[in-house]
Amino acid sequence: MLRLENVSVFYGAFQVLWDVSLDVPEGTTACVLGPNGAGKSTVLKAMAGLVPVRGRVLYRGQDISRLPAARRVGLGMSLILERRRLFTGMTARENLLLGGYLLPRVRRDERLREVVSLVPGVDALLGKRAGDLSGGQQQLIAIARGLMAEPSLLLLDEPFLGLSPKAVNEVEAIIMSLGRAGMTIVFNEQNVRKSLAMSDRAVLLEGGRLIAAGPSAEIGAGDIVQRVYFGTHVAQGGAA
Amino acid sequence: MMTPMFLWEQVLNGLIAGSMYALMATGLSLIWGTMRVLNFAHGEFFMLGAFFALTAFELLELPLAPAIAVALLGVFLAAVLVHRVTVAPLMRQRGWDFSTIAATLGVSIVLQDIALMTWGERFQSLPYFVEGIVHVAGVRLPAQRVLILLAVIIVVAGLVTLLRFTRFGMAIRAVASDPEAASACGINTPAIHAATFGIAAMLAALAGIILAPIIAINPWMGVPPILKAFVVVVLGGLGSLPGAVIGGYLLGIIEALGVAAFSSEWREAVALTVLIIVIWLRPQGLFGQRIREA
Amino acid sequence: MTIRTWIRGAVGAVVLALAAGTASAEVKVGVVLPASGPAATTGISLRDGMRLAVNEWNARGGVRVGAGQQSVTMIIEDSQSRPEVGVSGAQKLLSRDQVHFLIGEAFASSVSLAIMELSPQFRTPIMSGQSIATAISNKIRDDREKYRRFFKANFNSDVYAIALRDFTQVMRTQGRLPAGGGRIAFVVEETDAGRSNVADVSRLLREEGWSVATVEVVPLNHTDFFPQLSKLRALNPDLVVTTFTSPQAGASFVRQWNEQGMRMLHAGIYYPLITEFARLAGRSTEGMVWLPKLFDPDRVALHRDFAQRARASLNREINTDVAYGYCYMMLALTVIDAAQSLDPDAIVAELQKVDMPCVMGRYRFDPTNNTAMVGADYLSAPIAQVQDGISHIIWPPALASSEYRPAGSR
Repeated sequence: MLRLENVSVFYGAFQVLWDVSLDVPEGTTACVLGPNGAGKSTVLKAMAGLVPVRGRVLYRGQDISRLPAARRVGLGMSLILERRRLFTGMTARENLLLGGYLLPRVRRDERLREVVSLVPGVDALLGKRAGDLSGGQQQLIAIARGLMAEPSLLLLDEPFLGLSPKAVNEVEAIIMSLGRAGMTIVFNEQNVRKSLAMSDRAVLLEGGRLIAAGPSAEIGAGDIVQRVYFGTHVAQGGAA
Repeated sequence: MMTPMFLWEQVLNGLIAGSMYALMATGLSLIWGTMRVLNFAHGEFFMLGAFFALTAFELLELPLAPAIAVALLGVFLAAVLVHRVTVAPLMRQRGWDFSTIAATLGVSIVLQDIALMTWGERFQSLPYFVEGIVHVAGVRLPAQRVLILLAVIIVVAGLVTLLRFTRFGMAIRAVASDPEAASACGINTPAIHAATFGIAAMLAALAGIILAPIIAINPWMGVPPILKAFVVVVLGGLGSLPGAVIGGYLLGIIEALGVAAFSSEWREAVALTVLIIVIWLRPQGLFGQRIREA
Repeated sequence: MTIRTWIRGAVGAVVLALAAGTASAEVKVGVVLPASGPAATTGISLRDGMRLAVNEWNARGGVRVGAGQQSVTMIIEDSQSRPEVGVSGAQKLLSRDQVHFLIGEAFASSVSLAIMELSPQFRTPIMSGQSIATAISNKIRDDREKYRRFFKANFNSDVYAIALRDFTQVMRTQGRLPAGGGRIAFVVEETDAGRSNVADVSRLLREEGWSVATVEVVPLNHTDFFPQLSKLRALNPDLVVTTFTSPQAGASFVRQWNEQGMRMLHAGIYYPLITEFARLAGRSTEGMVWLPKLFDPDRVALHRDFAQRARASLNREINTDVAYGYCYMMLALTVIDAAQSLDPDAIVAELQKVDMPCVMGRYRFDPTNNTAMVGADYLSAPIAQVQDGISHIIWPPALASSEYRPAGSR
């Protein structure tokens, strides 16, 4: 469904992603693993179109490399940014409505009701100012906002960052249920064990380079993850 | 001398002057709020509005209302063009904060020169939109000034409605709040920036057009209003629309009462003293928020 | 410098010297004026007026020198309104051309202030023209001996104040202003002209028992006068005096004054002279009193006659500056003619006692400062009132084409 071909990303003169190629099949849940600074968030932003890339990004076979983020939303991709990034001055309801910005008005209101039933707990928060919500509540709204666009592919950047253990469980349950419902999901998360348990496929990055990619069970079985995380692995170009 | 009637008259004078400050500051604040750009060319859109209306009215011989509409549209397009060639390319660079100040300052000078070459330095004037005298709660006012007051109230109310209740307005607020998150929602952020720039310029142009019958139209007429507008946005809080509106009215009233209590000579001094006190007590301005994390 | 240009220069100098030699039977009047630069239009008008005077004298055979008459030559040097350029031009006229009388400078005060420093080095009488700076008169007053050959043919900058005072005296005798002196208010621009008008007018009127109700100083190009007008209405002074240099400020004030239905006596200084003002202010000027209305060829017979004669001779539009230029040259030639001599001391002696009526007023020099005297009988800043869209001079009586009409009497 989503394919990266030799994708490199630069921040100014500074290269943060080197020739990354990977494939996310439709209906799978994929996790992006790697230590701090490995380029996990950058991979998600490259998919969503929030950073300019060299190489190709293909969505359902279509080259979307030059397409701005807003246009990718229209194609069915939705990114939930790290640290929720709600519009804090607006109500939760307004945040959700903005998530459905590209939908026709009638469909948008309809979708709001659907999303409320998809994400438990959102209903009670709708009238509140987004900035006043707790971290866990904000993450629920952020996910709900992402779902408003009726995505086929959901990208989640660090969905558990800064949440209480209870909120982590809630968010995890929602992601799992969305995956079971057939949505294609890509997320990244520091906790390797939890990530591997939640996902069908895993992608392992180090220093902006792809180290390994494959079924989560295989990646988890080998010692490659441990070597990357504990610094015993030395990155080599094209080690995928 | 300080009779209640006299004070009320001065408050009314202040409200009228202040409504123009508010209109200018609202545009400035809107641009700052949505794209973090201090638009130093804002006064030139005030000037262009007046010149466009004058040209549409005198040269194209349009009736007043269509002439104003044409002028507003013209300024909107001019502003979108300015945004596209100067602000937008700079915003794509890193560390663009200062370069947009330099760029809009340059645009301001260029627009003044274009106006000078196009319309000349001769002072010109539009006729009053409405003639006659109106009595407002015992104060004698020319209808044109009452029109200023009403027009600004209507425009500000319209702007609030637009921002609060329309899909477009929500998109502007979303972009203002977090441009990246707005993009992730499918909002075309650069287009919203351009439209906001254009709308803000239209507000300035409207101020210029309504004032054109009262002040003379010339290439440099935009300079005093933008200075006032900067004072207002600092007073009201950068990026805050209520701050811009209330700050504008407040500055107008303070100035008028300053004239009443002291002398015209002290008008600016009184206004700036109030400003300094406000900044001292509330560095973020009356309605400003403390700088949010990036 | 090549040999060729050197030769060309030498030949030129010889020709000039010969020309000067052959012209020795003429009366030579030197003039320093701005023929180029920002004040060139004024300078050219002054020059044309002077040429008219010279032509008129020469047509009558010239000025009396000794037993006979000599024709007059005018030699002009361009100052570009710059003191250093004006001084070198004046030096050339005094040393090389050895003029018998120097009008310098005919316009800018700054140039006249520089040229007057040449006066002690030469015996030739020097007279400044339109320069208005009071500093010139004060220098002469403070050192009579040093500047005894220097004369100032224009009034000082307090002329407006003097005219207003004299006008208010007339208004008081007519019962239109309080007999014991009233209350005056000012709205002026933040400029030297604005400030000095406030100082001069309030000084002169205080001497007459007036008090100052308020002084409102606004920035340059100010256009919203409603706070000031509200205050004026609350204070209700007997006379409001305004001074602006920008026509837009003046027009805004007058329009808003009108809109607010203000009824007090209002006198505008200087800005109503500016052509732009009338266009911007439109009908709002009706009833306003203003000064100085220096030249009114449409209604003042003296001005009309001059304008007709000058137009026929010069074939150009006749304005205030042409008339001034004419009077300066008339002064110079009148005193030489009266002296019947080209001896500088004799000419200076005649300048001291000259009493010459001219189109812009009667010229006499105040012996304390060699400055043209001011007043209804001499030079003045005539006061006009807009009546039915036309500015009529209402003071001084000698030039008046109408009388003051109170507001609402139309």
